[in-house]
Amino acid sequence: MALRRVSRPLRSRSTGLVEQVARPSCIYGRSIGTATAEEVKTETVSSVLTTPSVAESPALEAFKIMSGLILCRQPIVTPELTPFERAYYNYQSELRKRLMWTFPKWFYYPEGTLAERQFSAVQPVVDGKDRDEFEKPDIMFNRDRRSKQEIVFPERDVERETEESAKIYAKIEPRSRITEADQNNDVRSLERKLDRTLYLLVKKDRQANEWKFPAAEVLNGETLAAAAERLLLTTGGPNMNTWLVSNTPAAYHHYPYNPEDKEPYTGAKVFYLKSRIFAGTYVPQKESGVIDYAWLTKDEIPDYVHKGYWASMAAALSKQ
Amino acid sequence: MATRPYLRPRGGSTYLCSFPHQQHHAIHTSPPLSKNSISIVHPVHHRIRYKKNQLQPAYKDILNTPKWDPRSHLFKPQYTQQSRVEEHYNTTVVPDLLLANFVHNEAVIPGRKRQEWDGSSPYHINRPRRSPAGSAVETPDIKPRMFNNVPGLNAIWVHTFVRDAVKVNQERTLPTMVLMQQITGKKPRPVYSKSTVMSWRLRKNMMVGAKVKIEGPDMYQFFATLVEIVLPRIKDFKGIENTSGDMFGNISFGLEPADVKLFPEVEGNPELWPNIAGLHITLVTSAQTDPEARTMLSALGLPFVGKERLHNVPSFEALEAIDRKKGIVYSY
Repeated sequence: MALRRVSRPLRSRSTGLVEQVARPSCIYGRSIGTATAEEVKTETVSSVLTTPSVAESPALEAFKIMSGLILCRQPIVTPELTPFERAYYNYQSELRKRLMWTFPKWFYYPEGTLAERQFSAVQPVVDGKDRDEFEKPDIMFNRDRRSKQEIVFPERDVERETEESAKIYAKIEPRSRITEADQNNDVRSLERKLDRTLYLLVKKDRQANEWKFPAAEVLNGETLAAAAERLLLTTGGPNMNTWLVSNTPAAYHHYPYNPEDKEPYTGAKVFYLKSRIFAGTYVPQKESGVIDYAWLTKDEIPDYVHKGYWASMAAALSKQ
Repeated sequence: MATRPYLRPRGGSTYLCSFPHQQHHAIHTSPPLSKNSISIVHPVHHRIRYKKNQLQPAYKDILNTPKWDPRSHLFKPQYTQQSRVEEHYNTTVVPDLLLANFVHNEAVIPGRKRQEWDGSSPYHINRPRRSPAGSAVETPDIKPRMFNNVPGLNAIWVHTFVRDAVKVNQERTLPTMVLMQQITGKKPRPVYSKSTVMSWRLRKNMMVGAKVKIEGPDMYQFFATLVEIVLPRIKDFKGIENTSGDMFGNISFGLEPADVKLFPEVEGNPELWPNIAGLHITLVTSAQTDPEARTMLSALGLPFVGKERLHNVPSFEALEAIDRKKGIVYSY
């Protein structure tokens, strides 16, 4: 089913995102989150009726106002470095070591102490012979100042080690950046793609546009934020720790209804609020209409959604 | 009467003398009383000794190479590794702050500026303008929150005052400076007293402390250490007081000597640091108001406690008044 094009007067009357629906003088300057659905609806009706070309059409009533949710999980690890970045950091790091001051042994290992003797014993011999012969070695405090200083620390005394010190000095082995969910390509897991932002998409049982960001109608007298909260509770269950970033919508999408559907509205206008998930999981609830869900990165979403829908949403999503 | 000869040298230097045209027209006949030519050019005593040999063509490339260029002898490699905190700020915090701080149809909120005199008195001409209403100094305008002014951490100032430097010996500052260099990665500079206070035995120009400004990767490294290692282990630490702040987005707090011991660099070798002074830390942000700075810093992991203080934050009534001037009227 192809999307029907919306007639021009409805689309490009104003400039701002919120203004497209909520421009009335009565709620001017208030954020859309505080505008009640009733106000928005009534005003939309009046603005539509003042447009002559639209008013002629008998089927036009008003748009359904909906509150959508961009629920995202923030990156957990730093992004993978590109080969160029790795080379850049390596170059800078080596250059820094080269320009660094000589290690002040006399400060950390005072002369005449046992620690100093142990430290000195394991230091490599520096005579400058590893460099070209025609260069004159510049050796000072056991360092050839033409190159970086290599420092070796004496091994710890295992016999005197306590449990606490063993814990401190234990070698840290980082876990793999590629998780089990990545290997199985489990899109329902929140533990995939650790270095990327994941977004929740839900699938509904219908012919076209089955994958979308979750959205629900704003009931009479309800704010967008309250509608989004209700939506999350009714479709995803209570086992989630989420935080709504702002009452300001991050994205906006509108679409017309098929006239054969005999809906009371011309179409729907969806305002997407941004929210973050910190703990818990999304569990589709029975009778919520959600038959499947997926946690996707920005790159993966275009494969799931309609082109026009993606054009509305792409700018609100994080590249990383 | 014979006129005196015109003594001005032909070299082109400026001299005060009776001018040639006066000579010809002979208006003034009386001879000058004093010397008839003096220099009005101030003598130049070069206080800066130029190293002229550095200006020779051989050094041209060195002098023209900017500091950031790796070929420059002043180049300091800073970006030696990926910064975890900075990545988090760029990928997660910036988009959220942009959305959370957004105000629809926002206009510039003018700050307190110097006021013009009304001109009722002739003495008002050229008189300096009156100081701003309700403030000793001018305050900056609050500009609309846009993508290009999302609050960020610009710099961290670490400052310390060493009591023993006054009581015992000025050189007591030096170990503290080494300590600061250890924990910040940058060499601090000494702070000297500005005035003499006899009852404290303080004389002017005594070295009484040190301070250092850290920026870039060093700053994020220090901030991460502070937030993740030092502050959580302070006894009875609940958070930074919400009352802290200078109204323009800079948050300050202090660390006791016992807290400074929790830095890993100090904790590893406690016997090296017998006398430890406390630290004053100022987080310099690009936020326009304190609450925005606190929001940004708490997103980076710094907790805040206490009642929120809303200085310098435009109230809803103030915003409404601005809109009313533009002809926009609210009705409720």
